[in-house]
Amino acid sequence: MESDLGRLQKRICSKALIIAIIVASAGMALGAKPIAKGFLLGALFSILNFTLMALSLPLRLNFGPRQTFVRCLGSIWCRYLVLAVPLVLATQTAMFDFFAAAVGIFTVQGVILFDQCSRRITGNQ
Amino acid sequence: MSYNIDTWLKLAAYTGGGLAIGLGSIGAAIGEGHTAAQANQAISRRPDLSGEVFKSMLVGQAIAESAAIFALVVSLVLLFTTPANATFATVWALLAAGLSIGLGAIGSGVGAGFPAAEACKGMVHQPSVSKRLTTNMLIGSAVCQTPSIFALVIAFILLYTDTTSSPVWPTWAALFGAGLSAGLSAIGAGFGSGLVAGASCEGIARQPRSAGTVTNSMLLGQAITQTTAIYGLLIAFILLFKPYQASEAIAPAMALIGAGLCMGLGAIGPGIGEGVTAQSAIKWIARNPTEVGVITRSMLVGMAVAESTGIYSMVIALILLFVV
Repeated sequence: MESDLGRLQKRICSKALIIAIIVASAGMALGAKPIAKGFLLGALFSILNFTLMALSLPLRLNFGPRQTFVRCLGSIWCRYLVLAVPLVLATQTAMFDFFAAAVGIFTVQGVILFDQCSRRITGNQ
Repeated sequence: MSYNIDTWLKLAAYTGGGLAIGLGSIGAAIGEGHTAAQANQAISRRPDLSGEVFKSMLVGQAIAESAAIFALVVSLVLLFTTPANATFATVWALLAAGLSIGLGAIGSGVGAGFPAAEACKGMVHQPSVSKRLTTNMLIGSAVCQTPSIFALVIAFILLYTDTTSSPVWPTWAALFGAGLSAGLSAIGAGFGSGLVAGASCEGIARQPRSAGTVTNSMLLGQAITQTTAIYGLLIAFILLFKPYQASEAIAPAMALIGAGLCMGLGAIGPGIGEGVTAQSAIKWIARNPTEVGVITRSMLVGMAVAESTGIYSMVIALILLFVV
């Protein structure tokens, strides 16, 4: 069970990291340093958020609906704090572009959707 | 004690930020909780498939919480940026931005939990189609996020709108109405879209051969379910970009807030109702794929009738905007 979940987590996180590095390198090459750094920062925290989500999954199972809701709410709030870090950093320093950081925190979601859609298109189920 | 514009801006930004993050997390938590509750049931039925269920639950929840992350982004913009050239209308714009994304994230968060929950349940009944179920669940969950994206667009326009060239009265009411229209109208559409996506996952698990038909019907059902959110977006755009004459009378300002409220509240019921109609249609299309034509026609007629109350709301909102 853990290995299945671990493999999925590793696959998605490594793809997200590769995309973040490619986008950041392209941004650096084009001279848009704050955008590149902002995206990379957002993507790193997106990966961290996904990892925390996977680690906290067992804590949300085997409870009644009400307690599950409370635990999910707690999990969301904790991970909100994690995702807030790159956005707060981007608002406080000129080193990171805020909008690039905001886009970066959706890297994992983008990878999941792209991964599934490309598998469907290529028929590699 | 006197308050200057900066104090009011801070008050609105902090209140708006709190509303965005507070309301925005409700939907995602309910959706994720529902997914986890159904995953419990699935694992207890087939403990040997818990790995597949966990994987589906994880990716489903990652997509489901996108709406809550939109709320987080808007909340942090509200808390950490100071608007340039602010007027008292900007105070209302900041409050409305928080309300727009906070309310707009509720439906999408709850809705996206349904396909994830049904996918977890379905894959223990039909382990052979678990990948197909995951793909369908992710497409359905992603489409569920559309109404919250509408609310996000309005929230960003409100955050960066320049009010210096507009009269404070009644512009403040138009901005607040726009936030209410986009935020409230996204609730029903997001929830209804989730019901449709959930039914399609259940249908694929029940009848894997109908997967293609069911996925197409899901996309059609979700598209129609989200039309009321488009009405809300349209009214919000009119409220934001219509030029206003300066007037300190209460009535024109209340008419603008009324237009936003009317469209926002009026879109909740049709969004959910259309979702229920499409949910049922997809459930029966999966069981009887040969009758897809008849069931789809029946679904479209039912959805059109359910939609009519949303259209009434839009007509009244337009009257409030252009006639009153």
